Amino acid sequence: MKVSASPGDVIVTHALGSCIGVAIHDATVRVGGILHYMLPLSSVDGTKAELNPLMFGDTGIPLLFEEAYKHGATKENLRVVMAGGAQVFADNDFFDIGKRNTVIARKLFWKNNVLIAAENVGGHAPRTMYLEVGAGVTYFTSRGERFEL
Amino acid sequence: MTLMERIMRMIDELSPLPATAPRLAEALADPGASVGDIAAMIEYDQALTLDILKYANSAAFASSRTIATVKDAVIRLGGARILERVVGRHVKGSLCPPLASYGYAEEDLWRHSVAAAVAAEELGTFTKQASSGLSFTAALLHDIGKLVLTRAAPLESMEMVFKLVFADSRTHTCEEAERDIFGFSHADIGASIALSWNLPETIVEAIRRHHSADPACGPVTDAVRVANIAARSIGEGIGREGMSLSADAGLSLRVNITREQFEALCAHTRRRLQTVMTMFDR
Repeated sequence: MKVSASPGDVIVTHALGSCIGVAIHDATVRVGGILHYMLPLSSVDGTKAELNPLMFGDTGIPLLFEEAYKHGATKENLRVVMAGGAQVFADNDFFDIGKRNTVIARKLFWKNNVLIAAENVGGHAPRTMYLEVGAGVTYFTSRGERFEL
Repeated sequence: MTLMERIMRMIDELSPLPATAPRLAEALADPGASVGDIAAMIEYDQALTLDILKYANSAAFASSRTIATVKDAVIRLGGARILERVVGRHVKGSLCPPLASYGYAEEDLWRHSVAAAVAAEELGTFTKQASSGLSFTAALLHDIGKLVLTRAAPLESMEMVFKLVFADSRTHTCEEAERDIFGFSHADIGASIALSWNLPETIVEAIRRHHSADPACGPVTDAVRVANIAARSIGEGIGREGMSLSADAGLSLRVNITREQFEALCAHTRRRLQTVMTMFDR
């Protein structure tokens, strides 16, 4: 996870496969950040999850928001986008962590009255996500192409 | 020279595994082999003896008692751990360089291989089944064929592989696209490498069939299949393929884990990866 209030910063997260990148940005105070989490629920890891809460959606997403708040961002002004959650090609969804990662983010945002401004999830392709902190521009690249979020 | 001839020549030119490695692997596959048998194989190799004694006394296995004999080192480390160290140190240099065709930067393939190896080993703790001492090594080597394929095949052919994957990754995983373009895949090449290193059939089969949907494979092959998905699921080895790999419907039943256990397996693997990578440092 990285949160920045420096307008010149570009935050990048690479190699999003089934992982999810959540980018948030407050245009008023020009604060933004990205969380890259791997797994949906910290409960699968018992007490050890406390060692690395950013690995999980349910514990990482609140920490991303809290860090942005510390820099002056407010919930009302935050624009939220997400990308990733690619899926294994399979006859069932047993190994489909990408889908479960997507569902947990949507659930959390829904419960907390946070609108997802844009998302690009699923499929099989890898993604790299970018956030330009000064301009608040969010996009991702995948297999050589750029897509705005 | 045909592509196949180029590949076979490259396999011949790979530096051979230390002679002790295949013998150790055979012993691990043999339930009758004793600690004494394994120690005798190691004592035969002076460089390995020194390395294993040093390793057994390293901080990773810290204990108040100094290990002075190979037999005690085998008891402390276990035969599987010794095989893993021998094979891992041997292939680390080959698996570290970038593989542009697959979109791997420096160390990406190595990290993916170690992550899969850790996951294959961890799987045993979730299934409560006796894990084969060969799962770690088989998973460590599962993608070694990519190394040779990417060097032997013309760049434009590798691009055709990814064109197929990009066009429709529902119908073409990377491995299937390689088969369409070349008639064989990195899995076949990896199996040929393992064969040329005289590794046991269990490892050869696990490498050859780690992408196959055929349910009639042994537990080591299934462990490598699950481990490969787990390694990708923690973001190791994503490259240009992303999550374009397949899992057959019965795989989870055969390895006997739940969804939650698979996710816990991923978390454990992520946590242990960095520590295990130091196991291969010189």
